Amino acid sequence: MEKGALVTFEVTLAGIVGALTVGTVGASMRTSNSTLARGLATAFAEFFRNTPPLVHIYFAVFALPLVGIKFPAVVCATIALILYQGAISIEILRAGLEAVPKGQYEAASALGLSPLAQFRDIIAPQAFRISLPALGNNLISLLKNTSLISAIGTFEITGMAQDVIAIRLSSAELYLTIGAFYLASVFALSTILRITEHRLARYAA
Amino acid sequence: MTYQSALVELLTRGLEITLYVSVVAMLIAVSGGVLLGVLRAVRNPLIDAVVIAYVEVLRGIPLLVLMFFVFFGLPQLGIRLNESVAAIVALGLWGAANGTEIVRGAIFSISQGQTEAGTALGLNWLQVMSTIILPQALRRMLPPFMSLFTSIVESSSLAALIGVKDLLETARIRFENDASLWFPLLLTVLIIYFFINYPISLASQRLEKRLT
Repeated sequence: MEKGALVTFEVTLAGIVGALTVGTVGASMRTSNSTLARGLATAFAEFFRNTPPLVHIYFAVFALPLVGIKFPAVVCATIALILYQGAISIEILRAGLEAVPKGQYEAASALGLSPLAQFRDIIAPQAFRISLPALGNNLISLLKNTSLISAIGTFEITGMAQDVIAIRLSSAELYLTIGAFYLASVFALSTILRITEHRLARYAA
Repeated sequence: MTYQSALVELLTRGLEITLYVSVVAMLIAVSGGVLLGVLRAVRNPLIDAVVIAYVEVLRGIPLLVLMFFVFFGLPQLGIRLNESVAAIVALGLWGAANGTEIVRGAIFSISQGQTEAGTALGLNWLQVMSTIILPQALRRMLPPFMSLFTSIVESSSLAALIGVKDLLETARIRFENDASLWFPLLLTVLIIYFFINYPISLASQRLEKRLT
């Protein structure tokens, strides 16, 4: 069980980093001036967030080894989850970027900052603050979706329970335990997110 | 040839079961959500505590764990449900918890003045709720409910893991017997889900833009 909990946390952590990266890159493409970049990011986001993550996981576990990427199944599944949760992050961050007042863009360029500095120092921090509540929900959904990885039989905590059930058949208690474990983790994560939101709110105009 | 026969099975049996499970779960989500959301508007501390606990627990655990609990765990307590009923129960309970938050949010977003005006006209609480608040709240509930529907369609694929022969499970059984079929079948399944969800999600975005 402890081993399963550990895998859940590892996958969640990797997933958060991955989904935020996909989200940031995708949202910058979604709001860029290049039609090609916009089209690619839109197609990616719309396709992945409108199809079930469980099917992405099936796909990744079968497909990645065939194109020569020989990762353990749990890594393939994590990549699939990153794509799904990342697609949702793209939409959230895009909305955040669009919600930054136009005057901020104008002020940033009036200061003579390079385009990268404008984005990194002026626009992105504000967009991030605006997006945080929705982004937080997406990260919580990611934490819960790590349970899907058990579908391919790994050591993630739900999967461990299935192995134990096969031996002991005391499933009701086990699923209650797993449920309590997730409930506690979700509570911890949402507390961290709420504190971050409060901290950042101080910088709001 | 084998792909064609698998495709026919996907588009008939598989799609039918996915839609059946999803639509029944949506109905439970809407009716449960409206019931519990309106109950929250009564502002009774005891009712609030019970509804909040229900919503927080169901939204705090993964749907898959809930589904496994209903299918594998409940028989131990003497409640035995077949695969598709267990999937519908789990999806419906989960959807109702999300629906409650949608309805509650929409009701509380209607200005307090509306309730006061209704009361001043001599209407009782139930009349104010059903003729003044809910009709206005309904417009605000529509986009989030539509996006909940796409989540329900996506999540109905979890039913495959307890053996419901939906789109995904039908495809899996087929490519388990013929490994060469995994790519076309999984791709087909993805595309079918996309064609169910994309129109709903587009409509939801359009509606949201029009309402703001």
